[in-house]
Amino acid sequence: MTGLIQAGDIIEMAPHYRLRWEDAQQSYVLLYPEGIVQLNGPAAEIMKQCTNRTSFEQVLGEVGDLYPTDDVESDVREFLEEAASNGWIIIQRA
Amino acid sequence: MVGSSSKEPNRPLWVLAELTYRCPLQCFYCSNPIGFAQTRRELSTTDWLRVLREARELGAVQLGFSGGEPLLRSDLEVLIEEAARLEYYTNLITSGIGMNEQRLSVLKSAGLDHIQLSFQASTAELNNYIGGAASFEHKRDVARLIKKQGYPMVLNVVLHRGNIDTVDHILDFAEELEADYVELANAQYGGWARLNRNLLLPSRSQLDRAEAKVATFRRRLQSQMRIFYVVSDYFEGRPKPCTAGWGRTFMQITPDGTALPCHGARELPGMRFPRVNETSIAEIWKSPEFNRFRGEGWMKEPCQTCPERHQDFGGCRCQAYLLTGDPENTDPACALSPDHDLIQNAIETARRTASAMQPPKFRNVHNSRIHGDKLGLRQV
Ligand code: SF4
Ligand code: SF4
Repeated sequence: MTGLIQAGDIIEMAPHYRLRWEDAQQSYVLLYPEGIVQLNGPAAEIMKQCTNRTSFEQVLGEVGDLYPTDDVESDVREFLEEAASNGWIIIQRA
Repeated sequence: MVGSSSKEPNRPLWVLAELTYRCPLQCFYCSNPIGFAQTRRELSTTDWLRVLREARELGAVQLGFSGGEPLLRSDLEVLIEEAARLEYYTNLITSGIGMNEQRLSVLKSAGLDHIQLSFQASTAELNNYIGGAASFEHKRDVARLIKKQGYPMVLNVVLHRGNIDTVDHILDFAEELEADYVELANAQYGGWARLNRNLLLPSRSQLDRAEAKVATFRRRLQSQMRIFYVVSDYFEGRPKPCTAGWGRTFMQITPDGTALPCHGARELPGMRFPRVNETSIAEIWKSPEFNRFRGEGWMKEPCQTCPERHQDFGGCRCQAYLLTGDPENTDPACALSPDHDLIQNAIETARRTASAMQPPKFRNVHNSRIHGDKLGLRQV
């Protein structure tokens, strides 16, 4: 499903997506059939969390430690919702 | 704060390896050059292996194997194995002819990531007519095997006057085959599609009906299948950002080793594109030919001062040349182009001749020899 994230949702990178560090670009890239997305630092940190089954709370915990800003919760939520509508991650309601 | 970066990559992130022009099908919209039959020897396995390594060193990550029909190369498995070892994301772009269960599993263990399977239509009759061969049932079997072996599958159908009315059926068919993605791509009028344009161009109302059907289907879609609908630049009044900008992220290598910045570049006048068996990928990327339309310095008005130029790069150079005779012109698909009437006239001509059943010029060696000198593949 896509849409708004709720407490307890299970999050996982979509099958067939690869997250990889690329030396030439000095950044993480997300690869999928016929697509490449270059990720900036925070985006890559969030996607790294999603390579294994996780939850919104867990992602927020890890990323919040790295980027302890006031907006981190809404930023992470917004990114995940966007990522879900792009098909990068799959959100399952627990 | 969070998002994807838009930093200019300026390296060949995408490499399309056209392994052969040989193909058992004869689709009359094929994007291969019309004169493909004059092509010189195909690159050797050793050359391809070196090309894969060189491109990867420059930062290439997405690799497509296409053709013609890439399954006709018996070294495909070797190439895919090396590509996987180099950590490319590997895509096989195939008609399915030459695929079977055994080969699918060998390719899987070689490390193939994804398969794009083309259909010409979603019924046997239409599919076999457009492709010029009875291939439908085999393709359908291959699609099932692809899914059975756990590959992600893109199902690709080129849309044109002859099949666009069945777009809802195509979508149902794709869903039934459990495609992960379905790509509905309106024909681009280069290569063989240019030769058969009068037969292929749909009418405005056909296009509108098709788009409405796609929208309806999207709304009721239950599965995870994603739909890429590739619009027709002839009807949009806006050009396509051809290969995301000349020499920005894309390199295509033809069966004889010619490196191109876009599909149709070979037809441009006065240019001899470098060959991978004479020049390294790094030098090719910096060559005068790859610099020719890089950036915005070459643009004329109206593109030169248009705010859209950073998004569409002034459209397709090959279409500008094919239709206006000058590759520096604005792509005539753009409504702001002084030559836009060429597009409107083409639509009108196709509409008027629609009922006068001309036979298509199928993509085959015979037709390539007849029409190739006039229109395709200048340099051999
Ligand atoms: S478009 Fe058709 S004829 Fe051309 S390479 Fe693909 S399958 Fe073969
Ligand atoms: S004038 Fe040129 S840059 Fe502007 S929209 Fe048309 S093609 Fe694009």
